[in-house]
Amino acid sequence: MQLMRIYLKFDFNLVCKAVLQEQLDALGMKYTIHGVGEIEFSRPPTPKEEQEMASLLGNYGIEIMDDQQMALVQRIKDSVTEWINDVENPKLYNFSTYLSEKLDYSYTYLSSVFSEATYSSIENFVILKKIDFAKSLILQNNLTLTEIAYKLNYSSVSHLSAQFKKTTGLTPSAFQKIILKRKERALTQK
Amino acid sequence: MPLHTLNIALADDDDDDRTLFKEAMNEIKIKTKLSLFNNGKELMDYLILPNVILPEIVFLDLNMPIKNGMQCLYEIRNHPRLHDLLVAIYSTSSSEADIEETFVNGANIYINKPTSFGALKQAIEKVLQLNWQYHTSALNKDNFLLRI
Amino acid sequence: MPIRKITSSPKVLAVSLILAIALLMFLGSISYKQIVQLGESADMVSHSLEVDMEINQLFSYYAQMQSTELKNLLSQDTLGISSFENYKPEVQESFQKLRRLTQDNELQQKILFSVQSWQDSLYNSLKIIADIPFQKTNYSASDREKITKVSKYITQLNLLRNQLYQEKQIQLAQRKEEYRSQISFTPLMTLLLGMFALFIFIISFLQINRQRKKTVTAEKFLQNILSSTDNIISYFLPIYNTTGQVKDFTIVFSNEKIESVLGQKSHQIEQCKMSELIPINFENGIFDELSKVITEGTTRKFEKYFEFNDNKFWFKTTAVKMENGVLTTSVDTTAERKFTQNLKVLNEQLEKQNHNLIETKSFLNNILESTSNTVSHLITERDSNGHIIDFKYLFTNTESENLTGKQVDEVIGKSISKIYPFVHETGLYDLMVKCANNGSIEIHETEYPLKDKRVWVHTTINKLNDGITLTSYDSTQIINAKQRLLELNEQLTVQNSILNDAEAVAKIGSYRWNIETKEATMSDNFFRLLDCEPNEFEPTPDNYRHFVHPKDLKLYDEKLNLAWEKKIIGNYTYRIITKGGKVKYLHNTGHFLKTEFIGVVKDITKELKNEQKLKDKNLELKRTNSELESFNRVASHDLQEPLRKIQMFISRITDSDSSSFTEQQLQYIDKVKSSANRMQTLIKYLLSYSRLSKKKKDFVQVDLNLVLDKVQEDLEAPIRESGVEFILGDLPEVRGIPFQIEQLFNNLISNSIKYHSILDTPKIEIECEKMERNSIPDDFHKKAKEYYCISVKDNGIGFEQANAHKIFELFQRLHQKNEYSGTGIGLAICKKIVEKHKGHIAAYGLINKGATFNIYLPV
Repeated sequence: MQLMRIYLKFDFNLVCKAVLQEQLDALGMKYTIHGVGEIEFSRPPTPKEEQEMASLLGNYGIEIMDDQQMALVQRIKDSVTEWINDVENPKLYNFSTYLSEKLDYSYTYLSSVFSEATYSSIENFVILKKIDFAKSLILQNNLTLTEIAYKLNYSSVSHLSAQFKKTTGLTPSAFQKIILKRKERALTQK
Repeated sequence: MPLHTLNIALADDDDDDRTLFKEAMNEIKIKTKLSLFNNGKELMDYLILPNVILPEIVFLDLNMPIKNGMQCLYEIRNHPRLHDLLVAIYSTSSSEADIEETFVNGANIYINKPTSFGALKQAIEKVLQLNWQYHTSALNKDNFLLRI
Repeated sequence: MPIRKITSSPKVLAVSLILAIALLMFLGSISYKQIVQLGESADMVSHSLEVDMEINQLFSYYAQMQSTELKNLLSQDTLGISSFENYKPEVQESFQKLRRLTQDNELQQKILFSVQSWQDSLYNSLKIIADIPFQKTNYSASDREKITKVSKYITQLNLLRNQLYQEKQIQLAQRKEEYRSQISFTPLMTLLLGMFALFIFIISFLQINRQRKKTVTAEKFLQNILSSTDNIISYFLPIYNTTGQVKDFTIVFSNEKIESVLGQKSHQIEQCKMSELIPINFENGIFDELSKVITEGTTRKFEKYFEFNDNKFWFKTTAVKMENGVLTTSVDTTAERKFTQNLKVLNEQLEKQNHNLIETKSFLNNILESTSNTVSHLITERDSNGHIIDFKYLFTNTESENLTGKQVDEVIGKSISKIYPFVHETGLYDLMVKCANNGSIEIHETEYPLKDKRVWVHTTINKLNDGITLTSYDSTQIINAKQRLLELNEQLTVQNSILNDAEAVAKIGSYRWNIETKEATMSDNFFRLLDCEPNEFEPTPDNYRHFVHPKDLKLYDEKLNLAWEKKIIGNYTYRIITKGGKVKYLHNTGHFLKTEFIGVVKDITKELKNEQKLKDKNLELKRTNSELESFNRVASHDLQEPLRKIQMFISRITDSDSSSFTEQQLQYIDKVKSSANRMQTLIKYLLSYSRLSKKKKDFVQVDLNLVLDKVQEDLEAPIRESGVEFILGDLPEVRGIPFQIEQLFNNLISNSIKYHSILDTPKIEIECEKMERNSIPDDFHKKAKEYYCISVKDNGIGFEQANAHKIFELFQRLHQKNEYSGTGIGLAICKKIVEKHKGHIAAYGLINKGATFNIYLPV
């Protein structure tokens, strides 16, 4: 039998948002989605509604967090993702300013909440997120490393390479080679 | 409790290595539940049990009797229920070709067995950290490659 | 089926097609004619109508004239306002018109003529009526008669009118008949002919279609032949220069066989230019031959030498002009040629020997011819009893002076015993006596001391009367020549026996087999190869056949048949069983010369056995090699395990609680640790060194620029720490194993970084240069024509040039262990990698100035 594989690229935010909207519409409550990790209702949901919502969203692996701090961590993460993925607009101010203005907390507070909840710092998370983005750009193939470094606000290619290697233990080219070989193998096996 | 207990599995035929791994696990901050297996076959037999709670990460030694790590990796990647498991290779070999081969075959992490306990702890900690981030932060798991 | 044949012949096809076209054209013209006639008929009808009308007109005028006059008469209109005269011009006009219309009908004209006469009469009588005066009632009889006359004339005219009508009707009927006949004939004919033409067209179409199918089959058939033949068949199209001369050829087609020569698939070389693909053809004359075929249009056969990728061939080629290009059919005659060459050399040797012999012979003849004889006549001197006591010279020719050195005068009249006393010793004298007594011819030859030399003299003694005649000549040279001939003969025998010995030593036997006389000879050694005495049996093919191994009999018979029928003796190997029961492998080669097969068999039993042994040995070597390899790997790998444990547990000890140890204990633990670390590094390097021997041959094009990017990425930390500056030239692509090339540069650059200068800014310069094989000073096995010389140059601490060779040896270090952390394996690995890539690495160093490593890799 002839099997076929296709490869996809997702915009996770969009997918999540679509799923949320679908499920929340089914619930019939007025709501506003802030980022991906936060929903604002016009009135507090009844315990029954809350339960129903939890089961509906649970089907999609979405959990309702009852902890304020966790919610904040999630918002920090969302902001980081947003900040990094927005490659078109120039970064006018540094990240800490951006974050504290956006979330209306002092950066020190945010960092401490974040570290406490994740055993890791916001800075580390930013790097992780950046490298993850760099990976997807590397695999798009039409960008050179120099262009990627520029896009992600690195001062030089070697800076990017060094951080990539430090985070993943691999050089960007080794990474690219492995993923390409994986795809190649998947194609030849089918 | 920000992090729930992580389920970890390790398949390694070396008694000392298993002990050291367990000791290192006990000394790190993240809470884990470690299952140990003497070889690949034991691990695979366990994983394919119905209703088993799948571990978040599987650590595989490459050089094992009965069923080696590469075979396990292959079986995991071709099993409908297991193929999304996070697999970390835990081996002595530092041959670039070996490493590339395991990554191409679908390993997410490759750890050269460290030569000091401290390094072992650090490596495990880094893996668990990263694993957690991948589980919670919308990172693309397909591109999750780490070499320590 | 002859009919089928006829219909299928393209000529008949063309003829029928032309016929069909002609028929169609005929049909077209008929139709045209018909249409024209139709038009004509229509004209005719309208013409008749016109005539009809005009006749009516005319006669109505006449009637009106009559009625007008009669009316006048009745109404007494004397004014003559309405007189018949008024109608006259109209009548005239109408009459003229009618005349014109009927001018092509004689009968009508005639009728009209009488009409005119009757008309005149009518006019007259009408005039008369008009003149009759008016009367109230009665008209005289004459008047009545006059009126009656008019009526009569009118009646006459009416009769004529009827005649005219009749005539016209007849004409019309005639034409109608004509028209009908034509019109009924043509449509039928058109239909029939049209059908016929269509039929021919269909037949033609079917025929053409069948022919096309046949062509396709023929093409497929041809394709099969092309792909299965052993010959190389190619088709070239010429490329002309501006002056119209052939300057090159394009390869349009070549069959699959070409792959065995050029190593490329036939479709790969199609549309290639000859000058690009096989420039050799411009040197060996093939191009000239092909050009001649193009310009002269003749078929040419030639045998040319062809060299491609170091393979040497001889091709016998037939080139035929086909359309605009040349079709060549080439047969590989290399083997044949080689064999002929060997025979030619042998032939030449034989000819040379022959020549030498002939020379010797003619040389002897020359001596005989050029030496004139000494002729002497002597008379017997007898005692009283009649016994011969001596001979006295009566005559001797001047030649004797040349022979003996004595003047003729000195000799004449003297007895022989006095002049040449030695004749008694040599026995000549006795023979002379014998001849004188018996009259027999005696011949004597011996050596004399003449003219201070020892000379051989040949003498013939004849009795003449009471005397004898001596005919002598200096036979020294003949004797010598004879001697030489003898020696030569002996030499030949020796040579022959040497040849025999050679055959024996080389285990070769030769044979000849004449196909006309059916005679066969086998060399002595051939017999010996069969464990037989020379000529032990009659060497016929049948007798020999008994020796052939039963399992090879089929092959032998086939080859013998082939030889018999096609005069070809190929190279083949078969087994024989000797008289002694030993199985031997014989390799046969031979050829056909005039009427004979000449062949050589070689006993290759030992070679085959040796080959097998070699194969076995090779296999064993391979096995041991792979065993060694796996041993190496497993050993190093398994060595690492316990070592790592040592390191691990040491770290456990030091981590846990170092305060409980004494200073010295801590020091010891530290030493254990560093020793273990060092051992680990060593094992790691050893592992990678042993990995190089793996026989994987995945050579690909490797871009060195990318390799260096990767290496710089890998060495990012040490590069940053040392602050090394890179100056990179443009680097080429080389054929290699990517991992190894990476390791090569990684090691070299690591080396340079490790031994970097502390005084200067560390720099590493990497450049590349393409070099001809001959311009490379270093001595190594240079197989490729060109090499890339890639130099890695640093300004580090360098080394003494005297140590340049040493640094590539395994475990060779130029520094103290604690100075630099080398293992002594890195550069050895480099050397091994470069050698595996069929290249060479050399190092040049100057203390405190830097080191340069030149890597030569084949282009």
